[in-house]
Amino acid sequence: MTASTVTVAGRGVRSARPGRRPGQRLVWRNYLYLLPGFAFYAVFTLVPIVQTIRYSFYNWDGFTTATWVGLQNYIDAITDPVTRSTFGHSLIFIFFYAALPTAIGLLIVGIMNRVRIRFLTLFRTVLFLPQILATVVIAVAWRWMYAQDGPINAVLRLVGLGHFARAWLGDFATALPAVGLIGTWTMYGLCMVLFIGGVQKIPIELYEAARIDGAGALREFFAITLPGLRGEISIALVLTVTNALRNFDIIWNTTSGGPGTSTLVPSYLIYRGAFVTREVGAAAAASVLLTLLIFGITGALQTALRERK
Amino acid sequence: MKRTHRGIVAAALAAVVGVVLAGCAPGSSSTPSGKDTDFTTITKPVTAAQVADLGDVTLKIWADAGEKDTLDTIIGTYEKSYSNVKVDVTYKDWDDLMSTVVNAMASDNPPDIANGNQGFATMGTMVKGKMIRPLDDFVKAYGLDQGVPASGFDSYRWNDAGTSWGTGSIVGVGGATQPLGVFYNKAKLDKLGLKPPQTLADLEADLKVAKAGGEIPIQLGNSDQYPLGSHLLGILIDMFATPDEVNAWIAGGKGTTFDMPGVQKAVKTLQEWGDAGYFPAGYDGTSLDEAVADYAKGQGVFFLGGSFNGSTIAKTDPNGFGFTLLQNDSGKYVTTGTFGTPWHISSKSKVQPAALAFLGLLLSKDSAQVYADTSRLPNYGLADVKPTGAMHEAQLKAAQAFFANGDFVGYLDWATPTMQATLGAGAQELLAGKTTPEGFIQRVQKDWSDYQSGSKG
Repeated sequence: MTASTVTVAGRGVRSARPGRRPGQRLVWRNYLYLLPGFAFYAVFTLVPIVQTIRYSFYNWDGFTTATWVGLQNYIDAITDPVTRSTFGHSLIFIFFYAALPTAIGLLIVGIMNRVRIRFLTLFRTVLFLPQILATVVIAVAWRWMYAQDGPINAVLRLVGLGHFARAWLGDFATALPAVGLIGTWTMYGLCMVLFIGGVQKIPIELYEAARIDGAGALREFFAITLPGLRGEISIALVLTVTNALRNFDIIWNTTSGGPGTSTLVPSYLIYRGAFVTREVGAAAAASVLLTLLIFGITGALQTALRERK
Repeated sequence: MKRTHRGIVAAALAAVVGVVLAGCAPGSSSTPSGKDTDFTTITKPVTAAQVADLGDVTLKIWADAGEKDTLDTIIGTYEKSYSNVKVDVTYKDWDDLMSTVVNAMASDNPPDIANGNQGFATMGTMVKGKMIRPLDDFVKAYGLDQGVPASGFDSYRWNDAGTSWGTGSIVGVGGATQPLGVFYNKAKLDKLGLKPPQTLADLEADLKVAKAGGEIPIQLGNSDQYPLGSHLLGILIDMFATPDEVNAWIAGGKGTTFDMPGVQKAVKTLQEWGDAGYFPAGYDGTSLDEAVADYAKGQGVFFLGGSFNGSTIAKTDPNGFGFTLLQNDSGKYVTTGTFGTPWHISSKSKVQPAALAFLGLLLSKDSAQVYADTSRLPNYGLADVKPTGAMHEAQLKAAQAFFANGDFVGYLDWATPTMQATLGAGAQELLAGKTTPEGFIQRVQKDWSDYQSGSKG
């Protein structure tokens, strides 16, 4: 059953191409078209993933021969209090990177829906700006904001709250939320833009009906806007949660994980283990755990927010 | 149909997984390619004719960005003397260099010459992987062991296996010494009626006066978790413990422990300094660079650091500051330091004569003034160079006094690859009252034992 046997002449060839009809045998040739893409994906994504998993069972400095240690790297990662605490910090960052920006985005959209805002495009652009700035720029700017003699402390002193002034990024009590708020600032623009787009898809009749029924702003928000944005909220949460969990650049450029280990996160440990301290096996194990955590949380989110029909 | 699709994808994935997992242990395929006998030893300096024999070649160098001013001048001289060699140099920031240089030296096409760093993480790995050429013959042939304290080479000496240092072959050499010491603001000392400290007791008395006088006694910026737990603590340990016992611990000596009386006293003293408010408010939120800049502009009476900080201070005000090393109880100068960031020659380099000639020129007395012009302290020709100002002059004098009667102690963070982080985070917690001196010492020692027992992957 080859194409040539059913050739009738001229255009008949096209409809006679094999591999389309249900029940027909699979044609391997078609998969050749996928091969280049798959090869690329395999070399740059699958192989590194599998290699990482493999390294995680070894004690390796990255150069000399590795020794098999079984699950020891995983046991160390789970039992070491510092490593464990980094995963705890990540969960706190989910609040600052995902929950808070989503809430702020929803609030802005809720207001925009009721109040006619002039220069909407301008505001939207300005509020979205943090998303497109390089994180190094963001980090440097916020380091200055948070510095001992920075603007935040200057304002506090001005209003007579000088005793609250401190190096926000250098204080055990404030460093973690201070870094977290930088994340909030960078992420809420993304949430807002997603939600504005989503709201425009909600049929205007629903709002009209609600208003005729006498619904107030709050009722309207919870009965129409929020359910209507389910899909967008899901996307926003997956993106921001992933960002929260693999947060590295902001930490690297602000606190280096300090003071002490109070802002240390898994990806920072992974980088340090892989490139600085040459504990490739331990770093690989932490990577696998982090990946599983991201899969777990984003998977749970998507299941929870799936549109039920 | 759907099943079959899935089947194909699964089979493809399984194939990839299989291919990768079938390999033997990571690293075993890339067994050391450089052999011990890969190079010709030299007994006298490389001649221009030997370099000319190479034909037209390129000498690839990876260097710390801090070496740029010095290298730019040296490369000009070098290319004039050896016209068949073109120098191709890549400058990298310190952190960037540290995270890439070992990989580069392990590759099949490594730089011929590279900056590295002492300690197990960088130099140890390079020795273990036989990536670098031993330089004992080079040091002898060029007379680099003359007129400098022998202890300065200890941090460059490794056993063949790359598992311990302090004795063995010299595998790297630095060009400018970097003793940690005490910078002082002359105007502020005058105002407070103080003299430059000679001992730790002097310094502590001065700090008290400075604090009472409303000054910041010691300028500090520690947001990078550095230099409080490494340099400042190091300087204090140098004063309380003997160089031998500290060096033995850093080098991983059997039966040694960080929990020694000298270290206990030093850690306690550091904590007391923190409690006494000798450091500026919010120092954990200020970077070292910012703090050095602040100090150069007149904030703070003292600054504890190395000659690498001096360049910045001298650039701002070449005459307003002084520099001194501290003597321990037996009247000897003891401080953390080395002959500087090490230079290595790749064992795979095909232009070794050109590389040796380059390092020979870079480290010779003739190049001393090039270092001095950027307020650095050349190892060779220290006494003959012209200083950039009064502060540099004080640094040169201090280094000479040290070379005449001093002992180097290694940097504490060489002890294990993770030690920098352990000391840095631990010192922040110590001064914030989150841990005790005993807790700090135990944590450091645990890092050391974990590494020495090879239990960490």
